[in-house]
Amino acid sequence: MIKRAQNNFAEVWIENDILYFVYAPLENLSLDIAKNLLKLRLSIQNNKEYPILCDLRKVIQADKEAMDYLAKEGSVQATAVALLVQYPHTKSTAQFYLSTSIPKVDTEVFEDKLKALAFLSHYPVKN
Amino acid sequence: MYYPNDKLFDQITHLITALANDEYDKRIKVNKLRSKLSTIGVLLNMLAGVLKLKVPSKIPEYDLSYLNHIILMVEENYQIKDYNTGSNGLFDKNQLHNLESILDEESLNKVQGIINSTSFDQSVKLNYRLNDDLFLTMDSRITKFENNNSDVFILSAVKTISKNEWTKEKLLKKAQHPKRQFDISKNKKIIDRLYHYLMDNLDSPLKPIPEIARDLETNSTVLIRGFKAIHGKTIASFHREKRLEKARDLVLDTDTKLSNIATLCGFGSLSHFSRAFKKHFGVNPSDSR
Repeated sequence: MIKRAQNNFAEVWIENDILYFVYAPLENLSLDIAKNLLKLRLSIQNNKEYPILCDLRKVIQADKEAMDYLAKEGSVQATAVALLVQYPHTKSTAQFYLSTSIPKVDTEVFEDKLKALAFLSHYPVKN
Repeated sequence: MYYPNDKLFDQITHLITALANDEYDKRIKVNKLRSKLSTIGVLLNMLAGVLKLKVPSKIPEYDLSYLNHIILMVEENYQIKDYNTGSNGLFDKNQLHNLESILDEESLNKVQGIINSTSFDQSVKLNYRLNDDLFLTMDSRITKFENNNSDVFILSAVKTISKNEWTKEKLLKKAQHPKRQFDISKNKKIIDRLYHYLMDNLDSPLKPIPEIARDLETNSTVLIRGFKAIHGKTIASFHREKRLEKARDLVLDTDTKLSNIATLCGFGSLSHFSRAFKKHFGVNPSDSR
């Protein structure tokens, strides 16, 4: 059975040992929303660490405090993160995030979902 | 080729000018992606957020709590009946007729929500459209003004103001009693290392600062002054706060035993952990589940 959770800001589910995290259309990702979304993700992980495919394509922008939170505290129970983006907008904002907030786990930007999944395959689930 | 009346282009030029003048709180409102200029606008907003943290000596609230008060008297249909002189500095006169000219849609909804719910005793962050068409988020409060004839509301908001707006008296006082400035740019890297050091050691109590200084090959004074200057709080209070936040996440999101959570977050005993948790969050960890 696929574990799944959803709120106004995102939908998360675990499938084939990958945690899929898909943002809903979002004008501004604030710190409060970031904290809310971390809780949503942890609620389905059962204390396991997962590789995460994070689909950012519908997010317009994020506050610096939210980006720092996701890069540090938000890396909990993640083995690696693949950020799925689209050129030009989310690709630019995601690269800005990577260079200024510096996530604690290995994180890369992809426009191609299959390449993102190939990257995550090097970071299996940890109990 | 330049296009006339390109509003976003004008907002971008205004924000670049604001950043050059150490004003890091202003933002461009981007709610739809219309062109690559929208992406440039968003990146500039994100840059403003980074600069605000990276240039803390330019943020007035670190040195000076000096606030500019905006007070608007508003009718239920958002018509502005009156305003104070502080409002003149931020808005054009022709904006000061109706709230719809100075707030974005999300903020108007918040105002409407408060008026409908009649729960006036709460602070709310509202996005104000300034006279240069950029947006500034300010802590605001709405109160009801007792009037027999019709409902009138007072919307007040505060913002910290930048150095170049300080009064001459304050500048003179500062010049007469100079305080040696901490060199942020010189010590930023070591403070970043300290931040990561603290975040990587949330499972144990804070080591004595001289010991941390030895681990990071620096001295205690640089760490104590630098951390306070950049993060606005002491090393000990930051570390304690982060340990308690980690504990709260474990309490709320996992089934881990409280005694194990206490150990995972560097507390010597369950009773010590419970006391600290209650003091910080106002509830016992056992009651939070």
